Amino acid sequence: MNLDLPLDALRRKLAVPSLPRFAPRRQFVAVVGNEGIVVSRISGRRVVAQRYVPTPDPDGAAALVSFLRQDRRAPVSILVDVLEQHYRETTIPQVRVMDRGKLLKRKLEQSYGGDHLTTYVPLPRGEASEPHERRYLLIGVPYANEIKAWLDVVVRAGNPVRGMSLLPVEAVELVRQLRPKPPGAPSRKAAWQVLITRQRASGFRQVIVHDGRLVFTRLTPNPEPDTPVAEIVDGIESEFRSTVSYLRRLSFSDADHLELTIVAEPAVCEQIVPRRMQIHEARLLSPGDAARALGVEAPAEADSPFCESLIAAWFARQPRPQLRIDAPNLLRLRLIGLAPRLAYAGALAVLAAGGVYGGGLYLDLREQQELQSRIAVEEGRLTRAMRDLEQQMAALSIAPDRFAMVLKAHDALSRSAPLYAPVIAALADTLPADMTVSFLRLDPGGEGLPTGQQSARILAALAEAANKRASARGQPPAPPRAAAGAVSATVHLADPPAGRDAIMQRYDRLAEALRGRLPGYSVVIERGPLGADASGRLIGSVGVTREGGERPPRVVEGVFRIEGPSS
Amino acid sequence: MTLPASTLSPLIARLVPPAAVLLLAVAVAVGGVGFLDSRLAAVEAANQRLTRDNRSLSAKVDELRGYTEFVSENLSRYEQALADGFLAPQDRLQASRLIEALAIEQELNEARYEFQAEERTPVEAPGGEAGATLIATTLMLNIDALFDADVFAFLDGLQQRMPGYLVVRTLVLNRSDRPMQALQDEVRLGQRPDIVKASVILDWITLAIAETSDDQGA
Repeated sequence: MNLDLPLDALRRKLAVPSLPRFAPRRQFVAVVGNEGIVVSRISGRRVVAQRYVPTPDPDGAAALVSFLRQDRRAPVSILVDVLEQHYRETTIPQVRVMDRGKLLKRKLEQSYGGDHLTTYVPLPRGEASEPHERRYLLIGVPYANEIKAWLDVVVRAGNPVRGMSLLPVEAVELVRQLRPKPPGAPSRKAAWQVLITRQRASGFRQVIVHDGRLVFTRLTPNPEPDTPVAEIVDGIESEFRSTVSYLRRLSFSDADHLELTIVAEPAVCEQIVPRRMQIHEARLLSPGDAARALGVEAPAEADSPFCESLIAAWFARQPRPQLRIDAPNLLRLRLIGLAPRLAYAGALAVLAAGGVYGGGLYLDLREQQELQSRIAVEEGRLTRAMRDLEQQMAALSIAPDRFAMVLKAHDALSRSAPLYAPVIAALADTLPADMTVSFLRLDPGGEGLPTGQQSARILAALAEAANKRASARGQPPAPPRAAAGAVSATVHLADPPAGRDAIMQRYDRLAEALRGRLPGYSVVIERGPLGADASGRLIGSVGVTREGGERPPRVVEGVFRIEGPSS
Repeated sequence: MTLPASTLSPLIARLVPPAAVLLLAVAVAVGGVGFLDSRLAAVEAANQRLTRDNRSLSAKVDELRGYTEFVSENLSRYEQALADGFLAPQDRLQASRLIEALAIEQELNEARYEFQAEERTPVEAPGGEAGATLIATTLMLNIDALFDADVFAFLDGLQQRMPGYLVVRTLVLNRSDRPMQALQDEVRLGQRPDIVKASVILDWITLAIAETSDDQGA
């Protein structure tokens, strides 16, 4: 039987250390055997108290309950070390995970029936295994009355329960820790290890380990209390020889290296002769020595023949058992015992989640508060700026609306009022001495406006400014610009030249001069002299009876129309 | 298989502290988160309100700044308009005295003037409120003068010195069709023939603004 538990094998393979222990500092470890129960009270690394109750002992049971209730919060671990323990290998086909449990449960029921406490552990694939098969070890322990009785005691005490395990299975790790390989030592072929301990509750337990895996185990009941040491030694040696004989059936040979560790009282250790057990050497430890080797304290058993204190102190230090085989009431208790842990874990999770979420909220709150500070600073700045501006406005002593109204009205007037001065000045500058203006008319667009039209023009200009959203604080009003007007000037030529062409040339020159003087204006001869233009009447006479040649007309006048400025 | 009563009590007692711790943790977590959440909501709401307030405050500041800049940039024009009497009430008696003084000053032969009835037109302020009244009076002038330059000088002087805004609407100027030599002879003799006759229609415009408590005027 190979009991290579997957997690430990993996851990060894990867050289991963065990997780930090979170085992309770105070706990009880009970070793249950066919001869009774030994309950050890552990505090840290040491056994501080111990009770042994033989089977059966009703009074002892009550005393045990009182003993457990001395520390109601300390959990109880139970190690079963009875004679009847069944280990059976089985193989099942590859099935779905959900069906695997049901299949194994059926196999356990078929193998052991309903009166056994059962469990199973997966085994590593062997060389002969099929690829689609899985190997398991089915474990069964008869749910005997004595076990029931001790479990009832534990339940009655009301302490939390960590679980029930099998001492031989857990002892595999004890074997390894008691006999670690020295660093650098060459590996020996197929190392067999045997550990022999003596429990008051059960007897002499042999645990045989091959290559780190439990091969099988044997239990020999305790001798009578006053048995001489020599008989005890003989019993140990003969039982070991029987074990070796059995091992030979399991491919053990004399060439294989076998390490024997015996934990017994010093008197027994002194008299054991390894040669009589057909081995070269054996490691003989008292329980005290073994406790020191394991780093635990079991002072009550410095010279005691029994190993319950050692085993209890050592087991209490293990992070977790190799496997659990719980009775129904223990399982219920254990699950109930989880409730506080779940509650504390839940509380921790709630606080953590609340902390994370609250932390996020707090950061947001800080950010918003900082933003609020910045907004307040900005508000202060704006308030100060507004106050300064209000003071400036007060210093100006002008209402903004009134100011804007005056400017806009003034600009509107400018835009609606034609500017004639440039035209009149141009006329004055360009007219030659022999030409005079006999008639001048100024009007905006050449129309005579009735009373009130000027106001309408101003209002229209103001409305245009309003429609363009030129408010008091917006774009400044357009610079004043004169509206286009019209000037009609009748220019008289005092001494006209003789020819018509010459006369026209004079007026044309004057028009050119005015255009040059008034860029942006339209200067046209509206009615030319002599009717030479299309609007006039051109009259002439010819004939041989005319005397003196052609005579110039007496009155030469032309009408200029000047409009502008153009936009 | 049920648990004995003697086991239940300690079990229940054992469960009470972790249950209380769990409830306390939930209360603390929920309470703390609730408090922070409500506080955050309050601060966020306050920030939104303050941001809105700042926005409107900023708009007011921009408006005021615009006002002050606008006023600063155009103050000289405003003061010029006030100096020109744009806001002064229309005093016809004063105006007629000015016309007479200018006519004499420019040595016009004659200047006849007529003020028509004024027209009052309400004007909306830039903000859409009725805040001013445009007052327009038509002034008709008939001028007799020796020279057209005198007429234009008279009109220039009137436009410069008449309070308010004076716009020439129409001007018709006629030069005498008598021979120039005859006119010059009369002038040499000290006479003052009407060489130039002018008919002028002007619009005399001022603005009357309703006084407010904030209005300090010019």
